Amino acid sequence: MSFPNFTFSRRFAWFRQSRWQAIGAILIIGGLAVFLWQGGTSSEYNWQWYRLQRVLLPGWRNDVWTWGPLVGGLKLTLILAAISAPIAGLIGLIVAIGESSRFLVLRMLAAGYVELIRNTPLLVQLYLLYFMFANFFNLERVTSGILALALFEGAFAAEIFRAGFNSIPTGQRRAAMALGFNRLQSFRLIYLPQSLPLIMPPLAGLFVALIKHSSIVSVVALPELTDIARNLIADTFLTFEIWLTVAAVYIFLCFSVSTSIRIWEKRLLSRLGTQQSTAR
Amino acid sequence: MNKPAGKRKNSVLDWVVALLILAALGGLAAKIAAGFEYNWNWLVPLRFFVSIDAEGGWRAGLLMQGLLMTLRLAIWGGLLCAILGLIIGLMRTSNLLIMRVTSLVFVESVRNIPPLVFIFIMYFFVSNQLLPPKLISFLADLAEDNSWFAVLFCPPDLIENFLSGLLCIALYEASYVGEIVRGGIQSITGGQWEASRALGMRRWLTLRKVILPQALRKIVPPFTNQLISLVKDSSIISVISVQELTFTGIEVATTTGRLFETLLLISILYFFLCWPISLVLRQTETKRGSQSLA
Repeated sequence: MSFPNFTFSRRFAWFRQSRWQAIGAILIIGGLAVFLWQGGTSSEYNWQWYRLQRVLLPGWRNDVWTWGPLVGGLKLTLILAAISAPIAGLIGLIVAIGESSRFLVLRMLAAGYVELIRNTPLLVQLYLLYFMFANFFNLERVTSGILALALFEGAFAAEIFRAGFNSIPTGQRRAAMALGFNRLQSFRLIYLPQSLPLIMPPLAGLFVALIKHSSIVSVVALPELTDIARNLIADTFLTFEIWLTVAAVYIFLCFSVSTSIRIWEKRLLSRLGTQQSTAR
Repeated sequence: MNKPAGKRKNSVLDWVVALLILAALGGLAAKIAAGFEYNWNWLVPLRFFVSIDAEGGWRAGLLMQGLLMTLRLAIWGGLLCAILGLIIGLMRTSNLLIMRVTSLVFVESVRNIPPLVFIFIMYFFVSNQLLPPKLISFLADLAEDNSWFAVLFCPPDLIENFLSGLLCIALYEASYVGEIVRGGIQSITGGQWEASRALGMRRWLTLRKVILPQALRKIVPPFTNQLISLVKDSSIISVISVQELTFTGIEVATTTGRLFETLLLISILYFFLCWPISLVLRQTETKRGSQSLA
């Protein structure tokens, strides 16, 4: 978008050209959608969108007025993300501080944790945690799911924090030392505020990734959105309707979360008095 | 590096303390394991990795086949997602609105769906629409006749699973690679475009000869990172019964009952698949960092 356009076209002409292109783009996307739609219908699939309201909308179920099971799944997805995100952030901060510690042992532990988590799939970690440690320590299913997510994203958060702290020039630390700040003070008053603009955007991305990765915990039968969807499909055979709905819900969720975080971030940065240009 | 730690050399005492703590942790773990009275038997999953048959020859077990499948998925998926990602990245930076909007819709919708949901949806659509049965039977025949084809791609009976899994993973990663390519292209300053314009080069020629060679340097490190993600995400396609490492691991674990050993073994295997790539990546990053300082 920030590309130099070499044709010296007038604004009006550009608008006329781009309008047709916009229509063309819509046609292409619509064509792709129809193509995918055909994928469902080619095997004589019977579309039954009307049955979706029974799993989605509120209504009387077993004499109780409740939302559909999919909404319950969405609730658990949100709860999982909301609980494991702060834990992941805390783990990330602690590990990042450990990585820049004076003590070799702490650095080794932190680096070992990050490498171990970053280089194995979340699915395998989840299986390990669920089948192994949950057995040893009598963890509940939800707890092990939250723990797996938090431990996984924590390693990525640690890398983000570390990159943020490393971006502060050495002169700042020396200046802090010259002013007689101790380590905690210089961290709190110098490092954190300055690296915040660099840390915030990837952290927001990590939160969205957390919401997406929470679907993986469905493999240990935690009744969140994806798991509920799979069960409902097994019950109702509404394969495409339910998957497309679930995808739309996830897209809406992730998109709105990332957009609202972006707005909040802009406000925070303007309140901190740092320009966006220094962040990038 | 602005950390005081980076400048200090590790003394012998440091190492001794580290070893002591690690030994203590190991002892604690052993104690916990002993407390739960679990008989570790590593031979069982290892026998499913490689075994020695009656004639004394080595034989690849189920886990080894799974590992090979993951490797194939990583190699072909990496290649495919690089090509698709390059196309998407070029479309994202095109000066035609139609290209930009189409690729934007693709990227945004794929990136905002969880990989698991994306794989389920693609699996149902892909197996119906994008993979005609003729192609599958043709490839299966090819794999049956040529052993090199079976080694490079897949044994004939698994070809449909393999192809749909490969397409899923490549399409998913391609949306991320597309953004990486776009970032690389847009990081090249406008002056480069103007200079090539002044030399009379057309847009396509400029891209090929001026912009992409420069952008490639910025694209390669995050692309390598994405390759690691690809290997890791390939574990998710075990849920659509693609017989790769995680799938075979769970199979072995449930049939032998040796859950812990098998799971630990496959996580070790994944670790040694990904760790070398990330080590190389880190090395190039620090090298580049020191170059830019100098």
